[in-house]
Amino acid sequence: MLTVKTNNLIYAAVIPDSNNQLMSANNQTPNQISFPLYFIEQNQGDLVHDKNFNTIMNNVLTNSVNDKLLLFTNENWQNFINQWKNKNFTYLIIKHFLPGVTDTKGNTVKDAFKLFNCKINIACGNIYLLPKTVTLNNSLNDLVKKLQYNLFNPLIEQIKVVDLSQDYQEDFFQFKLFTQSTNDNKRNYYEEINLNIKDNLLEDISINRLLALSLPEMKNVQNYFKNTKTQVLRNKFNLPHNPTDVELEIIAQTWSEHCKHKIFNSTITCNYLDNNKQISHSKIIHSLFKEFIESPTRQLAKIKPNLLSVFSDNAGIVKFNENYSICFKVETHNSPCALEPYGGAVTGLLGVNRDIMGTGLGAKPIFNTDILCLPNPFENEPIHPKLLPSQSIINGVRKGIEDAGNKSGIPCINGSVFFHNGYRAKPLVFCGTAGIMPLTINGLESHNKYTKINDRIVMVGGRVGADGIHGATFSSIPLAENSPKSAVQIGDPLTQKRMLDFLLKARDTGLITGITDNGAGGLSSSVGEMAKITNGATIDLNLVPLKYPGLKNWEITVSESQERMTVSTDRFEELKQLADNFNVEVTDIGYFHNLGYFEIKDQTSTVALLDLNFLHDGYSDLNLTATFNHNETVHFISEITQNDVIKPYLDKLADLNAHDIYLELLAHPNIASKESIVRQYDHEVQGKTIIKPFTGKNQDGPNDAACVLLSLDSQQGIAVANGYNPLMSYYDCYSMAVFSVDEAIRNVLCIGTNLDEIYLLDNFSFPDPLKSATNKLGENNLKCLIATATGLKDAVSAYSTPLISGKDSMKNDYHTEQIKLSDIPTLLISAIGKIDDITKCLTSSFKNPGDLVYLLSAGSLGIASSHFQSIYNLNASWLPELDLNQAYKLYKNLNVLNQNDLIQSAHDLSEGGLAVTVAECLFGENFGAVLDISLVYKQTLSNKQSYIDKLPFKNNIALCKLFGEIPGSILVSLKPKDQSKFEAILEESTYTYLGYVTAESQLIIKDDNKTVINTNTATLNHAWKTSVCNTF
Amino acid sequence: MTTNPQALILYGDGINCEHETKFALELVGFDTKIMLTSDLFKSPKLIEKYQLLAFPGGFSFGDEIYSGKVLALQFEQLAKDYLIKFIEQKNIVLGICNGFQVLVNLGILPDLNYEPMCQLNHNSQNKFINRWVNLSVNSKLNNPLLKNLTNFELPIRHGEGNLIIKNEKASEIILQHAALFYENDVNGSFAKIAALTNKTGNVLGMMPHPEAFVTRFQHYNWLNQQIANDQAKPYGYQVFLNAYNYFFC
Repeated sequence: MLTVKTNNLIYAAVIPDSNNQLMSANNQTPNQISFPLYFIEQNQGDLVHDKNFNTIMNNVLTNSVNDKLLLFTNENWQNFINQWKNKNFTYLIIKHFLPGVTDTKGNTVKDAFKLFNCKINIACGNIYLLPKTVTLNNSLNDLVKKLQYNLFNPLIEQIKVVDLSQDYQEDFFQFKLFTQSTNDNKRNYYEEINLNIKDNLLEDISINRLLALSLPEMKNVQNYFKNTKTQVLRNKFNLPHNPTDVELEIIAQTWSEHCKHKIFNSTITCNYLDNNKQISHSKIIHSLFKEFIESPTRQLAKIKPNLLSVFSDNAGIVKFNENYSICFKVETHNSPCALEPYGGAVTGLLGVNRDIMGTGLGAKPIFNTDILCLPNPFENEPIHPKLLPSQSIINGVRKGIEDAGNKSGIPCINGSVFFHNGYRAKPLVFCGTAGIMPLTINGLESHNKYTKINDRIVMVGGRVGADGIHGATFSSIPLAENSPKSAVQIGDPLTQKRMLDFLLKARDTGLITGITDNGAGGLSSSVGEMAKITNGATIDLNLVPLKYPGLKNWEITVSESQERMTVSTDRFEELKQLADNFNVEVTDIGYFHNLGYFEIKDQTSTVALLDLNFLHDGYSDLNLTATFNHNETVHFISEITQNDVIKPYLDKLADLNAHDIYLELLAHPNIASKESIVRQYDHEVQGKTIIKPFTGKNQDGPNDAACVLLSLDSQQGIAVANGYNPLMSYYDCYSMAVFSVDEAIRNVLCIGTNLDEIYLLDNFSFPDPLKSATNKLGENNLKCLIATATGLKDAVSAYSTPLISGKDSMKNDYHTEQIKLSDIPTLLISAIGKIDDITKCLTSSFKNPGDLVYLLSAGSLGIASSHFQSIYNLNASWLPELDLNQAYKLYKNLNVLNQNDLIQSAHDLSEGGLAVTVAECLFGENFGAVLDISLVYKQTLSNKQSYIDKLPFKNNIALCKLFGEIPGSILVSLKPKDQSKFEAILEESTYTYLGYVTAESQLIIKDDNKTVINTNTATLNHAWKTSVCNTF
Repeated sequence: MTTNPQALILYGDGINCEHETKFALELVGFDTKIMLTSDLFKSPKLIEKYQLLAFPGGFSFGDEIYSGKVLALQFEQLAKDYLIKFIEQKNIVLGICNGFQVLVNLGILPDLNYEPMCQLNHNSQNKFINRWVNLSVNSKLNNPLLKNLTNFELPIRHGEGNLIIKNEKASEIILQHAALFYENDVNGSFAKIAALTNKTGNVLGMMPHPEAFVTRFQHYNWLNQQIANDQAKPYGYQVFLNAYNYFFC
């Protein structure tokens, strides 16, 4: 017989009041029923009388309209089970978090009980009931496997299953819900790590402790501790000769690829071979970052006085007008999302929000962006059993961004989703945030920090737990089967929202002298970084508030528990008082000094003491080599490309029909409307989103970029958009970078931004560029990286658009003994732009019947890397090209046209090419158009006959014009009366008149007097809108 | 001496539309104060200085347990008497989105005289929805805050706006208090109800966001010339203007 009640735990389920409501109208058994289950424990010595406590539970947990509380006892449990059994349910599942995992609901329930003077311990869970599902061999293990990653994630949650048709297990109600407080009193201060050992053993230490330090780096550490000066200081603080585990962990986090970007700062010898495979010449790159990213910005800074802070703070800062500055940052959270997509996405977005809150004296987040590159859920590609199913990643990431953004009150106004099986190793999850700051706050320039000696070090926000240990080092290595569970974190948007409200108030009250995010590396990194300002810091771990006892000192130091910021202040008491009002925990954990070291104490004992210069600069430079063949076009080579099955589309090419291709492209998951995901993100909170993701009378015309007002009463706006072109990486990484910059810029231009006021971020997400026995393609990846950086530099220089911040993620690989997967080299460019007068904004939709349609272009035709090519597997190397100088002139002119009110709409050509662009311009107002593409790109075809001859449809060049994805191209519409003025301004640019907009919803496209498309706008709209609407 | 009506806007613990609500109220002539709920609970008497109390949208307490639940519990425990008096004195209480959910959980809507009979549940699609919807006013009620409005558009931004009712008996009462209807079924709400008001009409709870449409630029299609011409007075602005006029009629 089953015993329900164990210990003092109450098992409280909130179940529907009337069973009828549960069943669907036709009385069939629904697929799944679930309701909340609470495990409640009253604190000892604090027991409220049973009857009162029941009333309180009812008050807090039910709404008394459609639900009721059921407290399980042995008797009613039996009835409960029978009841569901009689309704043809077969399995009952109880789910709860693993001990120590952030339980946001539980925390709120606790708060609610406090209103009734009840202190409780609580764990939140769910009960699920499932009907008999498809043949399962009746094994519970099979069921658990099936539910894994759908109903629960084993890294953070546990389930127990009852087969209702079987006898019950005796110990069913035994759960491990809470962390056990063990040995807390006997906590060791530290463990000494002997480094007087052989090299191979040094490497073992690095591997076993997940330090991600190379042998040269371990030797640097060894040498530092051998140094006499070090030893003198250590003796004074009673520290051992060898490093303590706390010290080793701090060094590892600080020197991680994640924090120090060692690859981007490496010295690379580039050897260029001649025809005979001999080295003709060599070139040394001293730092990709300095030469290709920072240097063009420094050049541009001479003519762009608005760059207040670039590449130094948590985000780049740009002066926006006489009163405000804007800061912008995009981060990746690829590794966490690969393991636990929901938690990874929540913490990714909340993390980049904190970057903004930790920029300068602290900025207010005004919008979020999210760009997802995910494995394709529509193809049955073989998936390694250890990798999460694509749909689970999509579901988790989508929900994570929804919860983090919506609950923080920050609108998610721009983003994009790209599906490709080149993202099986790790999904790429780019989370971006922009913030606003007054230029001066209490007389201080807000883009600086003013931390000074004797300022207190204050930890703000969440408490420290074992979650998120080793995030920084973990993301600096490939994903593998033994990837650490502890790196997984769950976010808590409510705690962060309270912290945000509080910090802005504290900032404006003048209580903050400096601030930074507690992100990767935890306290070790945030305090270690800020200590550079005064040249020293001391903190006491005994003061750090913990989620639960039992953490070791090194764990407290490097834990990346979420929702925390580190603040410096000279008015702690006032800060504390203010924080209490906001329900925010602040703790004084130490002070800044100028003694040249970072000291960590546990009460009176020092457990770590590291020289700041050594800590920040003691790591080893990497020396890499890249050898380029004669005239080589560098492109990505994937180890598994050869094994991918070529689809039999080639047979059908003879019958290719433009209309069918058109519909297939519109329905392609990368092109189809993402309305179903966009509408799950609040994109209007704060009231300032004036160019929204969708426009037109049906709210379905997609815009290229979004725009938020600077403030609710302002006439100025900030535009934001993104660009990336990963398919081009398979052909030419240089062009991939150029086209990515170009696309991001065209997107913001298309809503009315001026090219002179555009600022960019670069995010590199690359496969491992370090060659090794297990990473044979490492050198090619490095070459891709160099080519991409070169393209980036050329493009931003040509457009005079400075990069203001960026981030790189270099280990987007998955290694096991059976399989090695690498992500496609991807460069995401995010652009923000200033719109001086929002009445000049543009959207993509055609506005009036009779308006003329023009194609403006600085690009030349090609079909390689297009979606047209990829879905039909066309074996084509005909690459589109871009003339950067022409593009620059064109984009400047576009602004002149707009300032003179000569254009009604603008939309860039991207995935799916001209045909898709036209369709998207029609959707908003459900118009039609009559167009002729005979002259399109004609002047760029002169020397391309050899490519055209190789096409399987060489007599149907219209397909290339319709579906080629051409950079530098923008489709505009204008009023007929403006035609001559329009053409006069564009004199030096390439433009092609295509036709006119019609009120009738029919699209007719002709090429050389042949009608190639004749279709209804509704048909196009249906294909575009319905293909992925159930994916999100 | 100030003659403007005074509006109190709550924030903290996850509320997030306080700034645009303040902007909207000031645009029509209110003097405003944004106050932390914790400050109000410390001295609930402060409420007596105001004529309008706004519960803005957001995610108070992260929408945990039920949306609006914990903030309602706090009011219940710490300030309910003051709130009831505030309402009895014919002041205005405006609950938007999460604020509406709080008012329902408090039992202030549909009216204090009833046992709890309705709840704002998860949307029938089980998804958060941000889109603009067409609304129509229940003209029978003559609600002072919805004057000069009949059919209009506002954005909705919620995951839990599906009004469910306890039983048949409740349906009659609820319909008597329904102030606004969605023109289409957008979230499964009973009788397509988008807003409820109390008997005296001075408490209004609505899922759509009037504060998100007080200037024409906030419309999703303001660059369309026809929309631009139609939206000289945005519909959300009208709601707040009605609130202002309530004190001068």
